[in-house]
Amino acid sequence: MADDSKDISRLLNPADNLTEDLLIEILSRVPYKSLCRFKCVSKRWRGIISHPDHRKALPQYHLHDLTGFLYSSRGPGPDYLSIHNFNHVSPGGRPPIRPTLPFLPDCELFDLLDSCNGLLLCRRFETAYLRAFDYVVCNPATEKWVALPGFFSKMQAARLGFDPTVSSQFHVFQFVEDGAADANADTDDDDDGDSFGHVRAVDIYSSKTGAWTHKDSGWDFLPRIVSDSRSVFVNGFLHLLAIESAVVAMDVEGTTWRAIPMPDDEDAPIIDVDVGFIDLSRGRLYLANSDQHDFDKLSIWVLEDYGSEAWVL
Amino acid sequence: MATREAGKKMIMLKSPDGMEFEVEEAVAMESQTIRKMIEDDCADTAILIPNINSKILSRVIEYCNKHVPTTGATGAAASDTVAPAALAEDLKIWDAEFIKVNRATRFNLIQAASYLNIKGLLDLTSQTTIDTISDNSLEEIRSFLSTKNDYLPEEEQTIRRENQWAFQ
Repeated sequence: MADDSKDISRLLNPADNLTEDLLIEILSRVPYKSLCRFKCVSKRWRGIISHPDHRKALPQYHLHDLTGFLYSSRGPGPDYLSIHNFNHVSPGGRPPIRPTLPFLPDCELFDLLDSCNGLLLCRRFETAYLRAFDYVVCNPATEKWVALPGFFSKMQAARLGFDPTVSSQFHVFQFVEDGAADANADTDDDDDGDSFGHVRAVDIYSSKTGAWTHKDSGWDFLPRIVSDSRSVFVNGFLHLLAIESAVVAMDVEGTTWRAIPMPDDEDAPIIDVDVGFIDLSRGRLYLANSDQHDFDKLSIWVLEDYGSEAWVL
Repeated sequence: MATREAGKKMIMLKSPDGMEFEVEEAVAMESQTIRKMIEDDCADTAILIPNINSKILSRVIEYCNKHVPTTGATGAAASDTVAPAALAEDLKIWDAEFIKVNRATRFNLIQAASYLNIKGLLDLTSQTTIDTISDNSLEEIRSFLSTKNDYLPEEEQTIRRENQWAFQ
């Protein structure tokens, strides 16, 4: 065996034999935490580990690794102030991130609009008195941020779509609503009025092109987005709960539009979109809803088959 | 594919240093790469296995010999002998012995397993490597894999800070 080793190492430095493919083969077997540590081994390793092409093969950050969550609460007083905290759900995890995202550049205030797979979408106001704002997408873990082009004055529902397993690019969806949104913007309150307008079109920002594109709504009807509802970004589609008892979905190009009707079941309580919400678990879309007569009762529906739109209780 | 022919079909494997190995077709077909060649009828004469020297190739064949399913070619012969669990346990012990090789050999085995597409061997060799290095310090990992640290000191500091939680 000793001879064997000399023989080969004289020919080649063994690690030179470890091509990128082999390294990925090996690294695909380590836990995510070790993978992050291995990024520090060398630039080459970091390049391999961080490369978008390898995301599918290498372990990803999974929900069960979750050590904290983000919540937003509203401070008292007339000036609406958002406080964002990173809270512990398990002891001994990483320390809480300082609230208020201090790494963001000077700005008077910002609203947290949406989060998606580790990125946050914020509305940033240059001053508290001007209504003009722009959108900022940031990663609170790396403290990197990017401001999207354009200033807006009309508060409209906006959502973020980002799936690191598919692409390192993100998309921001701003829903162009008619009528009601104008009135809403004139009041001193922000986007939680329930008189949200019908969505006529969607402006989509792509981090790849760095530009917004305007797409007229391709849905059969003009849905009203439930303003406080979560959105789910999966399979390249952004899913939202619409007041019209449906889950509406659109792709990042704005070319494919879907409306998935709510479960249709006589025994099922009527879906109350103000209480219900959608979320994602193990790659499938879930719909949770409470009984309007009995709030302690929770029903959870799963979209078993994405194509056939069949919900299973 | 008919693997139950009367006489066992033999396949000739050739390493680049000129050694020839005659192995049963079923054993050779543990390698998905060779299986594809055989199924595509590219294996009439000897198959040249590039990049894998005879020492490594003989070890790979040893592994395949051990891991070729005992049913299959010999039919029901194996079913009345050993329970599957015991067989798996036996294989595990054998694997653990098999992989007790030096670093260079192990890397060569990984490379061979990858090229020949032998999943079990690739799992075994990669996992063993990971088990060896996962608790080591960065310095130890670098030296074990002969990887050069090409970070500037300040760059390394930054990247370590970004991933600090992984060191805790």
